[in-house]
Amino acid sequence: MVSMSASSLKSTKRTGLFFVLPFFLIFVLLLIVPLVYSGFISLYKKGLIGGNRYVGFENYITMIHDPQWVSSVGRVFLYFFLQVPIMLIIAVFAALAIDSGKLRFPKFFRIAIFIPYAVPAIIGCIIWGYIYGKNYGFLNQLLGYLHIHHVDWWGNSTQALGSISAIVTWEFAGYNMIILYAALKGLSTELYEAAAVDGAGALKIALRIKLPQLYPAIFLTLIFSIIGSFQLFTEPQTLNLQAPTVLNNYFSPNVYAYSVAFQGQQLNYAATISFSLGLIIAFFAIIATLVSRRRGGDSLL
Amino acid sequence: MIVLSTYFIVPLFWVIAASTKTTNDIFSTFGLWFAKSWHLWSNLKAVFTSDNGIYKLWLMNSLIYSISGAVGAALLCTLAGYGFAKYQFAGSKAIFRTVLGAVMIPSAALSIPTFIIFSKLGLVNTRWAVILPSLVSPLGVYLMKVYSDTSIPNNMIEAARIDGATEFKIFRTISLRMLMPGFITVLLLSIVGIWNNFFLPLIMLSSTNLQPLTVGLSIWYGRIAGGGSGRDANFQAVVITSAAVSLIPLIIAFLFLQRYWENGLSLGAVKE
Amino acid sequence: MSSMKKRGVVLAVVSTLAASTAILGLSTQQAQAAAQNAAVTKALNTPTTLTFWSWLPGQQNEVNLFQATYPKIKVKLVNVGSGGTEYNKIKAGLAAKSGLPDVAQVEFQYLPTFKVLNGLANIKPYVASDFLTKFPQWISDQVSDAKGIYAVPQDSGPMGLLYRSDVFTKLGLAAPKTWAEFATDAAKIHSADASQYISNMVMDSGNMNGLYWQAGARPFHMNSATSINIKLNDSATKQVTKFWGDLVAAGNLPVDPYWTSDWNAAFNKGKYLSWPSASWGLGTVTSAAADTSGNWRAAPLPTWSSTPVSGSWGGSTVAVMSTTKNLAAAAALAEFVNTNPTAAFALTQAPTFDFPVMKSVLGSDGFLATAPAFYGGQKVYQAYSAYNNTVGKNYEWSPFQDQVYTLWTNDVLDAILKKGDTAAAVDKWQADTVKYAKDQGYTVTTK
Repeated sequence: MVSMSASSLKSTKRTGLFFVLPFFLIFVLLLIVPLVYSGFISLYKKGLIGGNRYVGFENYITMIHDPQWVSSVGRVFLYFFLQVPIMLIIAVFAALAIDSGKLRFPKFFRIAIFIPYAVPAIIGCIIWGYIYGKNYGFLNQLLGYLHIHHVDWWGNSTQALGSISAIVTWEFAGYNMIILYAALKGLSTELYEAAAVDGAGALKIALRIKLPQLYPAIFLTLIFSIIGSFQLFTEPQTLNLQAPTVLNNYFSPNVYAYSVAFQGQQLNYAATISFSLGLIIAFFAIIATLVSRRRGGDSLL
Repeated sequence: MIVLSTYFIVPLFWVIAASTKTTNDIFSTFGLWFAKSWHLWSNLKAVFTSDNGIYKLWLMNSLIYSISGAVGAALLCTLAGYGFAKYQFAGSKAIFRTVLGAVMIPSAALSIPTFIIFSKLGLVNTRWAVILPSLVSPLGVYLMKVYSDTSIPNNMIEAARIDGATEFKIFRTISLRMLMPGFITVLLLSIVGIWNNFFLPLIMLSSTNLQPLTVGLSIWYGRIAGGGSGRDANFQAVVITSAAVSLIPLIIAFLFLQRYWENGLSLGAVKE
Repeated sequence: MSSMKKRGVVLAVVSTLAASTAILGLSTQQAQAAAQNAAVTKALNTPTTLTFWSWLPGQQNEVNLFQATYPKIKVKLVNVGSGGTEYNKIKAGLAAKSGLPDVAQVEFQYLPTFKVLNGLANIKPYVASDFLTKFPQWISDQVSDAKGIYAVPQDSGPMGLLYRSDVFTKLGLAAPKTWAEFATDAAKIHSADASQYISNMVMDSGNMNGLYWQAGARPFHMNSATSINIKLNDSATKQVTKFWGDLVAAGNLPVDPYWTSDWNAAFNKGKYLSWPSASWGLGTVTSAAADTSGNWRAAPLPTWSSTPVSGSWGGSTVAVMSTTKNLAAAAALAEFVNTNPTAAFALTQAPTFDFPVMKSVLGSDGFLATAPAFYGGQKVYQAYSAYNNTVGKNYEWSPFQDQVYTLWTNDVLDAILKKGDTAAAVDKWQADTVKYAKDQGYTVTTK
C-alpha cells in the first residue's frame, strides 16, 4: 500500500467530482428543475380569462374531490394488482422453465418471449387494436369459427383493463423474464446437483431452491413494474377511439393530465396531477424497497 | 411453454400476414394466413411514398435520437458511475442516493413541466427537446457504478497513480477498456428506451419532419381511426404495413446483441 | 421597385383627395384595394416556403394548383391528424410560440377557441375587398367581426340522411320523413333481419350536436368577451337525447364507436342501413363501403315537425396562424385554395366531397349536376343544396368547444350506453360545462 500526501489524496478525491459533474448538471437541469417547477406551478392557477394567480393548495383540494381523478387513480391501482402479478408469474415461470434444462429449444423460447419488448408500445397498440376489433378483429374471428359469440373486448372499464393488461404483459413479460433468467444464471449449481443426487425432480428444484434465491430479482422487477404501471398512458390514449366512453380521457392519471393540459388548457391543474402521481409512485416504490430489504436482507437500492 | 409462446408470437405473425393484404382482405380473410392476392410490394411502396416519403424521415429521426441520445447517456453514465465508484469525495454518497431516488420519478410527471420550461427557452420543436432529456439515465449510472466496482481492480489504479498518471489518463487508458461491456449495455438499454419513447416526442415536437417513428405512426393510425371528413379507409393497409416494417430495425439489433443484454440486466439483479 | 413607385403615386392621389365627398371616398377604397393587393403581389413574387396543416383528402390538388399559379411559393402540405389531434398541436404550439404552420385547417366550431388564444391572424388587409360577400351571411359571420377577418370558409356540413334505398325498398319502406317514422322503421328493420339496423347509435359528439342544432338548440352566446350564456339542457336537447336513448334501450341500434375499421367494415357489410350525416359523409361512405356501390341515396333528415329544417356538422375554414412570418403570402394561399373558382369546385368532387360555401359554386351548374355512380346517379348536391337552405340560423359556438364535446361523451353518451336517465345526464353536461367555464374565468349566465 503506497501512501499519498494528504493534499494529493484530497485532489484525487475531488477529481471524482469532475467525473460525476457532467451527468449531475444535466440531471439537475432536466430532472430536478422540472420536478420542482411542476410542484411550483401546481400552486398557481391561470384561466382563459384573467392571469396567473397564487392559490396555494387549492388545486390539490380540487383534485382530491374531482370524481374523474379519483376514478383514474382507482383504475390504475386495480390495473396494477391485475396486470403485475400475472406478468411476473409468467416471467418467473418462463425463466425457471428455460433454466431447468428440461426444455427443448430454450433459446427459441427466450427470444420469442422477449421480442415484444423490441416493439414500441404504439405499434403494439396498432396491432392489438386490430386483434381486438369488435366485429372483424382477429380474436372475434377465431371465436366465430368456434361458433362462440363475439366479445366486446372494451365492453366496460374492467374488461378494458383486462384487454390492456394483455397488451402490456405481452410487451414486458420478456424484459422481466430476462432479468430473472440472468439472476438464475448467476446462482451456483452445487445446490441443484446435490438435490438431484438426493432424487429431487426439476420442478422441486425450481420451487424449493431456485425460487427463494430469486426473491431479490423479483423485487427488482416489482419495483420497475410499480413505476411503469402507474404511468399507464400510451395504450389507452392510442386506443381511445375504439371505445370513447370506456377508454375515456380520465382512464388513467397520465391520460387525464394530458387531456387537462392540452385540451382543457389547464396546465396548472395538469401539473398538480402529474406531481401527485410522482409522489404516489415514489411512495409505493419506497415501500417495496423497504420490504425487499427486510425480506431478502439486501437489495440493490 | 408452447402455449405461452404462442401468445407472444401470434400478434407478430398476424401483422406480418396483414401487411400482405389489402384493407378489405384484412377484414375478410383468416388473420394468420395470407389472402388470395398478394399486396406486400404495393403496400411497402405506399408506406415509403405516402405523404411525400415522410416515413423515411421518421425512421431517420428515430435513429438520430436513439443513437445520439444513447451515446451521450452512456458516456455521462460511465463517467459518473466511475466517479462514484472509485472516488470518495465530499457528498458523493448523498448525491448517489439522490440519483438512485430519481429512478422512482415517473418520466411522465416531468414531461409537461419540461415542455413549459423548454417553450420558455425556445427549445420546443427542436431536436434538443428530445435528445437532452434522454441523456439522463439514473439507472444507467447505477449500473455503471456497480460495474466499475466489480470489474476494475483498485490496485491497477493505484499502480498507475504511482507511475504518475493523471486520473483522467488512468480512466482513458485502463478503466475504460474494462468498462466497455457495461458501457455497451447502458448504450443498448438507452437505444431501446429512446427508440420506443412516445410521450416525450409527442408533446415536444409538432413539425412532422422532426418526429420519430412512434409519433409518426400514431398520426397515421389517427388518420384511419380519427373522425370527420379527412378519413381514408384504404389507408389502413399502409398503417399496418408500416407497423410491420418498424419492427425490423430493433428486432435485428436484439437478435444480434442478446448477449450484452443479459449481461447488463444481470448486473442489476444479482448481489454485487 | 416600379410597383413601389406606382403605390407611392396612388397614395399621393389618395391623400390629395382625402377631404372630398362620398364619391371620392369610393376611390379611396379602390386605392386601398390596389395598395393591399400590391403587398400580396409582392409577397407572391418572393420565394417563400409555407407550411399548411390540413387533413382534407385531396387538399393536395388545390395546393398544386396554387403552386402552379405562383411558382415562387412552395407549400408543404402536412396532415398532422384530424380535428382534435391537430388542435392539440396548435394549442401546444401557441403555448410554446413555436412549431406552428403558416396556415391551418380549423373547423368552424373551433374558431372561437383559437380566437380567444390569439392564434388567428387578421387577414382582412390581404384578401379581396368583396371577400365577405362571396359567402352566405351565416358563414361570413362566423369568420369575421367588426375589426377583421380571421379565416377563409372552406366547406360546411349541411345534414341529410344517407340510406340504403335497395334494402328499404325491399322492406317496403320509404326514407323516413319524421323521427317518429325513423323509430318505427328501426324496429321493423331489426326484427326483419337481426344483422341489420337502421343506423348506428350517434356516438360522435359533433354528429349529435348537429341533430341538437336541427331541433332548435342554441346553447352558447357570448354576452361579452368575458361573459358567456350556457344553456345546454333545454327541452330540444333533452328531447333528441331521449329519442336516441330509447332506441338504444330498445335494442334497435348497435353502439359501435365511430371511425374505427370495424365501423367502416359495418357500412360495407350492410349492418347500418342509414346515417344521418353531413354532406362530406358522401365521401366517407364511398370510401368505406365499396361493396355497396350504387345502393345508397340521399334524403332530407327526418324532422320533428312538418317544417323542413336541418342542422350542420363540421365544416371547415382555412386560417392563418398569428405566429406566421409570411402573413401576406399565407393569406393569399388560404384565400386561393377556397375561393379560386377551379380550386373551390375541385373540393366538391371526389375524393373530398366538400359542401361549398361560396355562393358562386353553390349556384354553378357543374356543381349541381354532380351525380356519382356510388349514389346511383342521384344529383346528390342538388339534394344537399336544398337541405343547406334549411339549416337553422343563428348558431354560436363556445370558446372551448372541444372540452364541451368531451364532457358530452363522458356525461351524456355514457348515460345512453348504460341505458340511464338521459334528462339527468344532459343536466349534468350543463353543470359540468358551467363549472369549466367559471374555472376558466368566465362569468356565466344560464338563460
